[in-house]
Amino acid sequence: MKSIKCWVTLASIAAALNPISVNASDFYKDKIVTAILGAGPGGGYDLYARTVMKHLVNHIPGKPKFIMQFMPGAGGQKAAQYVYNVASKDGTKVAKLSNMLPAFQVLRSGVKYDVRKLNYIGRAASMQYVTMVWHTTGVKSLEDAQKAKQAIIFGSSGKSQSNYIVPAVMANLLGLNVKVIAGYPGTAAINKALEQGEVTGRAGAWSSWISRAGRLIKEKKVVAIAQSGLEKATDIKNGYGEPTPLLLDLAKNDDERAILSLLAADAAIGRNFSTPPGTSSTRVKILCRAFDATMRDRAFLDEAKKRKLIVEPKTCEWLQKTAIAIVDTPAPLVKKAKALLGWK
Amino acid sequence: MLKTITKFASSCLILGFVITSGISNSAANELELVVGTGGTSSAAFSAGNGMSIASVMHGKGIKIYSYGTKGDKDNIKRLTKKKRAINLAIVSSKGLAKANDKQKKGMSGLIALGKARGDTLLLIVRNKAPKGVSKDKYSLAISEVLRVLKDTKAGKIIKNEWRDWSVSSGESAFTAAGVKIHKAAL
Repeated sequence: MKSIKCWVTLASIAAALNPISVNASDFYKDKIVTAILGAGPGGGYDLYARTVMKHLVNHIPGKPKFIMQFMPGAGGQKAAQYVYNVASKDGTKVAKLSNMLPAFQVLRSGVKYDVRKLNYIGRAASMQYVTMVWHTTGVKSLEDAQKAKQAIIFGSSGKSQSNYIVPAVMANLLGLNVKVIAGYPGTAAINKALEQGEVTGRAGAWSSWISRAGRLIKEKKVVAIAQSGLEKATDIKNGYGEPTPLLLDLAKNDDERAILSLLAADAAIGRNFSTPPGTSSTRVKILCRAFDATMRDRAFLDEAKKRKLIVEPKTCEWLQKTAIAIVDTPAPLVKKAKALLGWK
Repeated sequence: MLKTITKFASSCLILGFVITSGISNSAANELELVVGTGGTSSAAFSAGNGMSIASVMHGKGIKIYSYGTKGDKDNIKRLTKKKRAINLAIVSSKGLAKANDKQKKGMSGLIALGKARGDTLLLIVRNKAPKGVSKDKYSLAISEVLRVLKDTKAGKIIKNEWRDWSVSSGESAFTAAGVKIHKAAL
């Protein structure tokens, strides 16, 4: 009897010392967490979100269930505006929004969100963009591309997409002989155009190349010539077996470096997850730690491997700092970046 | 008498589905269905969210995920397109009547969900099963969707999201639009 009393007292003390987990467990028990996606079902966003959410809920005290809500439109702006202005702020909404949001906030006018107020909970993977060219062009490296007399024709899904921004930067800042055809409905259509000889290049997320066009890499139908992001991945090799250069490292001065950082920052923001602004800091903290635990979870890592998903996690604190650094880019540099892309 | 037999048969079918697919606790066997709704401020969007929550709370072997679309026309287009199509869609009776014959052949009517702005909101389903899902499994999943939507507890959850939720067969609306009714709804 004495020992039972002792255990009860100890449990009460433990509960009192850890009010966050007790309250969180009460709050999330029997709740449903909604994952809001700024894209439709079936793509990379969906794949990452479903895989992460499936395991994330197991690390949230109270083990809530989850549902998905697809909200594509305006390059992810529709979902961002919904999360920022409409979605409930009680900690039951988790959003997987576009990695371009911080850059759009400074490069586009009239956005109805502020990433400074968005609560990031973590990043599952970077979206290192890799520029690939079709093997018949004879271009095997960036140096080859700089010397090429025939223009490399890049396929793009729109002027606000990275598959437009990266080749535009390569042409306007590095002087490459590049043309961009915009208007393809998506990655799959550009890959098809590559195989049909309609275009000869595509810049896309490395994770997307691996999961959706791994066959082209394996059969050496495409050759990597450059990568865009804030950190260099050493395992991405060009046609000569050498590591591909990071566009950021090719900047000639500080201004160019700042512009390239701004345009490549979306790669660092990557496959990010967030909660609406105004969510209590306690619940944001719970979600952040649950996200960290998910990224270390063996079951999650095994499933990610099975689905060919790259996992390069970053904490919510790192993500928040990176996003704020992007939106704090000085106005004159933003103006130069806009001019470089031909944006008004 | 016929009604009782049909009810018994459908219950057996659902029970058989639960037993054979072993879905009671296994998330891996859950069939995820996507329902096209409408703009974020529309009644269809709220109804879709409610259906999604209700499917997780009361569904067996199914999960409904909502998809914010541009409305009736977009829903019908996405439901009947060749690849990466949605499985269910919420459309108004007026919107459904505007679907062309080819589109109507690719869909079936399931149930009427309630009224919004004087028009009945209807739930339609894609006839073709998703890739990698057998016809039988798909058909049983649709029966389970119907069971959940008719469930009173699930109805309360959906009403929290959309207060005008009031399910009925919708037979006359589907017939008027020239859309055949799904066998699970008969």
